[in-house]
Amino acid sequence: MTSVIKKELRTYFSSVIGYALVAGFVLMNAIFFYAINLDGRNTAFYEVLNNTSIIFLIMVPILTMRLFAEESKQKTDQLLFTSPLKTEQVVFGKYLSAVCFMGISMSITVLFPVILSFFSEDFPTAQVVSGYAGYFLMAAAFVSVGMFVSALTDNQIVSAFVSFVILLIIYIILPFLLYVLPGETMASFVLLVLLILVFGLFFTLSTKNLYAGVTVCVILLAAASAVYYFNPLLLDGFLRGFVSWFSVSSRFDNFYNGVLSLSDIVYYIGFSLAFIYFTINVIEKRRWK
Amino acid sequence: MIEVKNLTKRFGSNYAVNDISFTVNDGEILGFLGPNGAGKTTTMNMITGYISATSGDCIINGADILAQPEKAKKNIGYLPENPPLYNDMTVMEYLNFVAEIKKVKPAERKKSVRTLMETVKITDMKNRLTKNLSKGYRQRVGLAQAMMGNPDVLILDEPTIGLDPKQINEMREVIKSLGKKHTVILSSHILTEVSAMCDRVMIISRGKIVASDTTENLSAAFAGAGKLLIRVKAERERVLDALSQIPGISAGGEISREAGTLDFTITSEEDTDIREAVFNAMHRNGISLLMMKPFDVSLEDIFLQVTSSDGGEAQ
Repeated sequence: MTSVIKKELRTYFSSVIGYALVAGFVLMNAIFFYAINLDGRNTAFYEVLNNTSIIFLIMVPILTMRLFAEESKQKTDQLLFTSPLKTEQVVFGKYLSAVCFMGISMSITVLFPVILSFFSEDFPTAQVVSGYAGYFLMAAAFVSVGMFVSALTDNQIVSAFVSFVILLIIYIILPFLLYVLPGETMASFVLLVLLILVFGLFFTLSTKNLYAGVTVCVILLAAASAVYYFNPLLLDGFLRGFVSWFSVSSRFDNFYNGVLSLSDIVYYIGFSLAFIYFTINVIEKRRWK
Repeated sequence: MIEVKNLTKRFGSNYAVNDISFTVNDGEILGFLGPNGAGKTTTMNMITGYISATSGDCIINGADILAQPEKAKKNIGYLPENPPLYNDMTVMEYLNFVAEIKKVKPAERKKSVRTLMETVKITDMKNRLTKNLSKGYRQRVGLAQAMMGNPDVLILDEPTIGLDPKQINEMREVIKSLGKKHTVILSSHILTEVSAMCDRVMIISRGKIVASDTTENLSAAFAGAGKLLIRVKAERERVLDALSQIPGISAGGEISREAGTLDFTITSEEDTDIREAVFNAMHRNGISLLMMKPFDVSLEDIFLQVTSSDGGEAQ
């Protein structure tokens, strides 16, 4: 696995793109650092992190677009997948390399709060540290999404664009939805029905057994209807809960407020692991088709 | 040693490889022949574990490629159709990376990279980016990659493609010397190459094995002993008259290739040696026999024969 990480990191820094990404990222942070902390005479560096995290929407897709798309296009995946490496090792290696890249970029920006801390008496160390933790974990979660998309296609541009759109939805549209969504049970019920139908479709496709798929669907739909009819309170907030599960960026608020809660950390790591798992599956499926 | 049992690969309703079985012993070079799209690459991809089989097993040195992939893959070196090179690495960096993922011991890495570069003669190119290499050099780097870690089994998909004649000869020498210690499968659609390098030839067409034997046996099987080409200096009737004195033969295919002479193709119905009988018949009738040679069946002819007859059936 370390060999894959090393190789990927070398690839990032063997072209100008890697350096340009780091430079752009640091520059963005520097601008906000100047505007908020220096010009605004403010020690709240976590504000900078909060404002610059939007750059992940551009940076992560560029970083992850080639991870698997390039390999399958150049057929170099033939080397990786016929070597004694396990698919898991390859996927984890690639994921960690992109995460390392983000970590390297972030570690440069640590200079700003360090400088700041020399000149202020009430520097909010805890909030900055937890802000960085959330910043890093969110980037890592985004990387897993980007990597997953990259495994679906062999076109880097498509990969970057689709990752960008998905991250945009996660980052901007879902938090917005959380504010406007109706809390009604009816809406939750409709969502539940849709989810059951999607699940039924996947179930049917993967087992290739229409009869079993329809049966499972009918049973689940009956159960959902029963819940809706007899105890609709159970469905209350389901829709919101569902949306907020995918809303990676709203979790960041806790970190930003200086709250390092285990549940948020587990959430981010679990989110990454889920997409790593999907990536492994997609690759195995493709080869096992 | 490679054992392939009832290997099948289906894409939708289309059989890319249909129920093929064969064994390659240690120290044997097997040539895989077939027209484009016959299923050579698919078979190799399955043997190396790059794609899965719809059904059937590939067993490499006793380890099933799907059940014990790490163990099996350790013993395989694979050179795919396009050498899997990373364009942003130099030859040296690339081979070092290959050594790492193939689990060559750290202490031996440097040495094995150096030895392999010498074996395939790319030492001069070691600091070049692989994207700047010519096709021939890419192919050699690919071969070095396959040989990394000294695997027992080498699977080479069209190893000499894109090389110039001198390089082809060198590559053949390398592969032949590899064949002494390793089990090698190589694919090609160049027949002379296969007959020059391989102990055994397997012709595959439309996903099925249509012929499998040593090159000599194949030639013998397809040639038939009693087929002769003769060139005589006489009129047509006289020659046919003389030939009709020999029982059990038929003559045909007459053509004049040289002024004043005629060529005939003579076939013995019982596959017996008829050279003496033909000579004596000509001699008795006072016909000058200018040339007589047995029909030599090349691998090309066999190939065309087995693949086209199979194609006719399928259509």
